[in-house]
Amino acid sequence: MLLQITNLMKRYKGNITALHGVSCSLSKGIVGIIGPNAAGKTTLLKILASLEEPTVGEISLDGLSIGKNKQILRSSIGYLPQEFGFHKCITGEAMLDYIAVLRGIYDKKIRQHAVDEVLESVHLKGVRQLNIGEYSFGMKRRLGIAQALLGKPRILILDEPMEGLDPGESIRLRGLLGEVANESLVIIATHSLTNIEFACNTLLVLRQGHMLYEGVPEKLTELADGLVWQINADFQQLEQLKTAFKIVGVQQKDGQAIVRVLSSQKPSGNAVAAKARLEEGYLALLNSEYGVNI
Amino acid sequence: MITEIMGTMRFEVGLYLKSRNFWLATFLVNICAWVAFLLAGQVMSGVAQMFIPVLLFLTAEVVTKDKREDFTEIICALPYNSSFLLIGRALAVLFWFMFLGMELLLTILLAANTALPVYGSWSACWAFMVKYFLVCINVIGITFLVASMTKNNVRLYSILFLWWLIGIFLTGNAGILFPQWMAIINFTFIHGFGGNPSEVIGVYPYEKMITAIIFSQITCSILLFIIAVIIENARRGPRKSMIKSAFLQVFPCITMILVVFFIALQNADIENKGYKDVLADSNNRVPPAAVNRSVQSNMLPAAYDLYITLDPKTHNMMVRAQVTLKKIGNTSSPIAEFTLRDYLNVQKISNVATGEVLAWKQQGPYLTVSLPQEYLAAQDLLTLEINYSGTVWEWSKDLYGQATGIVNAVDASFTCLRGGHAWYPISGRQPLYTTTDYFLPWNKEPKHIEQSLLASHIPVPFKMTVDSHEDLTLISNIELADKRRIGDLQRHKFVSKGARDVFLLAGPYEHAKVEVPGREKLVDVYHFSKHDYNLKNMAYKVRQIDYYSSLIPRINKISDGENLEREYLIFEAPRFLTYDNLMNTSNLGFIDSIAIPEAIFLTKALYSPWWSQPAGRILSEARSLNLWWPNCFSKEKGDIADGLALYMYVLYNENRYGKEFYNKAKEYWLFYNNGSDENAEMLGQRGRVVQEVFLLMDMIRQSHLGDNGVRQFLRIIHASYQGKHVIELADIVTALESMSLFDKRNVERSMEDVKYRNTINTLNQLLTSQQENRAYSNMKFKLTWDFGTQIKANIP
Amino acid sequence: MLTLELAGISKFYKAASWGLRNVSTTLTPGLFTLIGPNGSGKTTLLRLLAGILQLSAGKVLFNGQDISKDHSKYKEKLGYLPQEFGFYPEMTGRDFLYYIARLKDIPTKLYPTRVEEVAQCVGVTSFLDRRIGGWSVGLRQRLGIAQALLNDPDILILDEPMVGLDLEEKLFFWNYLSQLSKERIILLSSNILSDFITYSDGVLLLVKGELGFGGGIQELIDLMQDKVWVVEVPAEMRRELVCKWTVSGIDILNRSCRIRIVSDSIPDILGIQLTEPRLEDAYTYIVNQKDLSKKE
Repeated sequence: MLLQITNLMKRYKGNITALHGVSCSLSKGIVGIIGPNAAGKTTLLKILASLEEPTVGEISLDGLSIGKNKQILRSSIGYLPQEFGFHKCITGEAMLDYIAVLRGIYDKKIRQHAVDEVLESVHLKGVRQLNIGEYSFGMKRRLGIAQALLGKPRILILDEPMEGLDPGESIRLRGLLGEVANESLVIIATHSLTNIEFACNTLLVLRQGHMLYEGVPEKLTELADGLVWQINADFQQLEQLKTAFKIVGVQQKDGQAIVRVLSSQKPSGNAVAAKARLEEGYLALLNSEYGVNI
Repeated sequence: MITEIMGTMRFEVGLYLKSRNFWLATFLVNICAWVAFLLAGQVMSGVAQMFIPVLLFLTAEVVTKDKREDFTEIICALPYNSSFLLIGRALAVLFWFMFLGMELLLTILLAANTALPVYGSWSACWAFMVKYFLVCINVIGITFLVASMTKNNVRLYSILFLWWLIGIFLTGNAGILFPQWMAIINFTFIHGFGGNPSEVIGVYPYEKMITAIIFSQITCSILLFIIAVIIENARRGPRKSMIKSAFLQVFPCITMILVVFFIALQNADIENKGYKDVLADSNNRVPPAAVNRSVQSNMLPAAYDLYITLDPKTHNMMVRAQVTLKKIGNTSSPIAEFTLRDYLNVQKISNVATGEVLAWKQQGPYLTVSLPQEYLAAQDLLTLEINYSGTVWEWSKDLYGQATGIVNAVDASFTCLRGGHAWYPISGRQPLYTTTDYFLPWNKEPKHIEQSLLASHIPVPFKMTVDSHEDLTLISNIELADKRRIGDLQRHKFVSKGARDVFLLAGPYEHAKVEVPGREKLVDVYHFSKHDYNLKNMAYKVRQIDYYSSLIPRINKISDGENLEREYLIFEAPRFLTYDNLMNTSNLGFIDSIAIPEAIFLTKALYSPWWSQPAGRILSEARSLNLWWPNCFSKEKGDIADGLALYMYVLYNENRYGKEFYNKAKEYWLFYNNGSDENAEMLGQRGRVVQEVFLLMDMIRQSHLGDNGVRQFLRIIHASYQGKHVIELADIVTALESMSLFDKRNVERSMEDVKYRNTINTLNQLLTSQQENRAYSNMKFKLTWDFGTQIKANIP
Repeated sequence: MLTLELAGISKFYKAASWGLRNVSTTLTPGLFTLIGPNGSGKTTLLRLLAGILQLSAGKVLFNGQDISKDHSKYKEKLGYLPQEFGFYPEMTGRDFLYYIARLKDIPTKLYPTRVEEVAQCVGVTSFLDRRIGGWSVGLRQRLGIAQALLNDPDILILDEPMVGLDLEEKLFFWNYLSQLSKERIILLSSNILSDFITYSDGVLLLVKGELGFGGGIQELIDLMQDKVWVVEVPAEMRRELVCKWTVSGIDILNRSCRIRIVSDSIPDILGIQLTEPRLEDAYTYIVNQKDLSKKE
């Protein structure tokens, strides 16, 4: 399965360009889209979810151009936006049943089975008969994921799915998504790298509509090789370092601070080169002063 | 496709069942309906319009639900067909609304069968359901359309609110601003057939029109909905190709619907020929201006003998009228002129005595006959036999051009030939219509309104024989002498020694003779079957009539001197007989009879404290005065006849309740001022003219002549009124002079004289003032219950 | 010495529903993070400390004084940023800060200086005269912190301040808050355990209204020594393992997944190995423990 995005551009009224010619090729697995705020992540996802139309550009699935034919696009995807809600007076099960109908699962038995399956996978079976108004935030998000999973779509598009979930729920969701990613393409837009680190095959970095990076996470991490330094500092030194260099991590240990610094040159005498982490590679990419580019 | 629609319906209805708002609205609607029905005393179909704002609100809630719950993004990404979703949603709303309507009706019907003073019957409920259904589909159509065009909630609610206001505006008097054909497709022409249908004859004579209206409304709503679907589809898909394909699918549907619609309309048109006839009439009519006053013939009728054959199925009537004429004076004009309605075509006129066929000419409503030579020379009495026939199917129309009621009709459901409406030849050239100008507040150019005039004759011996194949119940102001079957014909024979302006009615009547305590003769009451529980109230009217007869005896002075006391009857009149939107038949023409509107006949609320129409109670009582002053208590501003009628009514109530009543009435009219409160009325009358007349009558009563003077005055005026059908100021002056109360030569004799002079001057001013007498549109937005009990003529 | 002591704080909602139960700890100047599952009482605790909710039981002592005795004095030294931070989109940043300054009873003549100061601190000076509706999420959060700083508080309470911020902005805030915390007590809540939580001087872990752990991060991690195991299994076995054991992390590889399990004793799985503990492991372990004890 291959999803090809070619030169996607989105311009709004008033000459605001949200996307500048984004192109990539995606296949099965988890794809993470990261970037600062207003990078165009949500816009890209909305275009893939058929909610918006690109000004220029092509989307093709397995060689078939589907950008123009929205119905085909919609039948292949499951989408969950960042902000969403459900009708409160309806049970979770009834809601899913309805959405299954809208997805085109007309046969009653198959529908029942599909609903059961997704409820099972998001651990909502116990509250299926409860009105959605009584669901907690985490439950609602799980329900949202459930509706996106109905009918086993080939592409799952999630906009910040982990936001608001506590770490326990996050872990469980990661497990679920990992499983789904075995069969489908899962595209996740997120701020938090930890949420995709676990299973990402492809990482896309966007900034202000431009794609800065497309590739495996490891390569992004490598970008920061040679730029990360670890210093054991006391408080005074800490202050000095703060003004002079970019601090990317502070850890308290035995009264001292272990400081990680991003710098092209060795920041101080006792600095030790450290192994880069994904966040640091990302930060290095975004800050042109490190002279890093693809 | 079905699954999607059914699935959506099931889902939506489930939502409504659980939504607090919906149950609240249901409760509200029920309360409103109950209150409305109680106030009206019956299940009124007009109440359905009251629900429009609530239904609009509910439908708007349905279409904005997704947005409010932030559900839109999820649902938009799903591969459903938005047409089916919208259809499912619209059907769910319709289903819910119809459930609401049914529930409403069932509870009302249940309650109506208890002691509640609400009359509910199947036909009233049917009318309500039809109107309610039309309201629902209109609301759904417009809401879905506006919702597809704007996604902004505030704008949606504002536009819908505006639509409702425009609707109120259009269905009021302002509707006449628009061309007449708009009436049938006007989205807000929901109350097209106005009011409740008759219990016995349904919505006659508009049955076919109802289908056309319902069909057109459904078509319009579906059209709106289809546009909404197209817009939604365009929104969801790549614009150009979606619009094209949607159009290709939808266009044939629309065409088909429109074609069927127009065919239905044509059919309705054919059935309701009255449309064309009414419009054609105006071409044939001699312009009333040409004949301002009736031109008296040199002949007077001496007797009438009519042989009528009715063929209700084809609306045809064939008459062989034998008119006996008497020469007056020495004039020897070679022609005799008659007035006969222009759709009645004369076939042959002959001299009965000799059998000679005479030459005649018919031009519009006027018939000219060349008199035979011998008659011109000597004889006194001449009997002409006039054979005529025609299709009697004449309607009155409102400003929309919509038919509101029948003028003259021969039909299987109901036949009506009104008295004084020249359905048999009346001697002389008498105008049948007059036009008045109807002013709108913003227009200098008035619209021309037609009003009917009575063409009448003096009381003469009258014989009438009516033949028909069908079994009919006939009512007339002359007595039924015989009724029998001859072969396959049914024959009615009516005979009277002295009758004027004869009318003939045929309908599904039952005849009851009501006993009145203290009176030998029983009163004839004709009512529709099962409407007999108000018969006791009829007895009450009789007591009134006896009192009024003491003021003005009802006698016909026949030409040979005999005074014939006139009997009377009471009959139940369906709506189209007494209700007339804009005055074409403001002269009902039911001489010597009291037409009680069906709504009053069958209401259980006549003496209920809830009834919002105390005016209705008064009117039902005051109807008796119609025997003296036809059409009294029926105008916005009363005229002189109304003033006199009111005075008699007050005298009656004084007789019943004591002097207190009279004093209060007098005080009211003393301080009555038209300008301050437009709606101020007493006992159903309003206007400065009524005030002046009342005070004049009181002056006469206070004079040395006292009560007798009142009686004398009334009798003089009534005598001239009977012949002229109008009271002019000169008549009042003459009457006062003849009673020596006033001298029009400018001799000031006493204070009273001055008072009389002042009153007469004021009346003169009022009657000739353009301002006072203009027919104008009053833009009142009050919600009327469409009671239909009164003849509404918006002219003073 | 600046201290904020929580002594047996409890908040009781409805019948048998404890929002918070007997939470006791002492905070000194520094940056503290409040973590825990959703519904465990994080927002309740922060609101209690911000003086918005009333205590059902227990005391909050600020520098040794019970805050309920002199509430306004406590409030003077408090800055609070709620979770749903609302503002009027038409206001400019400056107007908004003036507005809050008035609510906080700051003397009028001090407005301009204070506003400039806090704006500079958080770095929104150049945006102050633009309407807030046009600001980005990150800038708005900064404004939120700015308003909390207007009265130069000793105690800063922030409810989920990092939501909606991207990585760079988060880094900025952690750095900034860390600096502020030298002389202040800053307590914030967060749902993301990695990122830059290491900036914290300590964490409070709330589970079902009770304090599961209070102390330094390293301390917390060290608790898990010898209790964290990792094993690589085929993808199909994942579900089975998740049901049977307490899983604290899953890494998806090509046809298999790497699962981290927390357990006191070695789990009976083929190929399982001991591994260095991480913060997530400690979190999972403690949360699970509390769950189990509740069930009993």
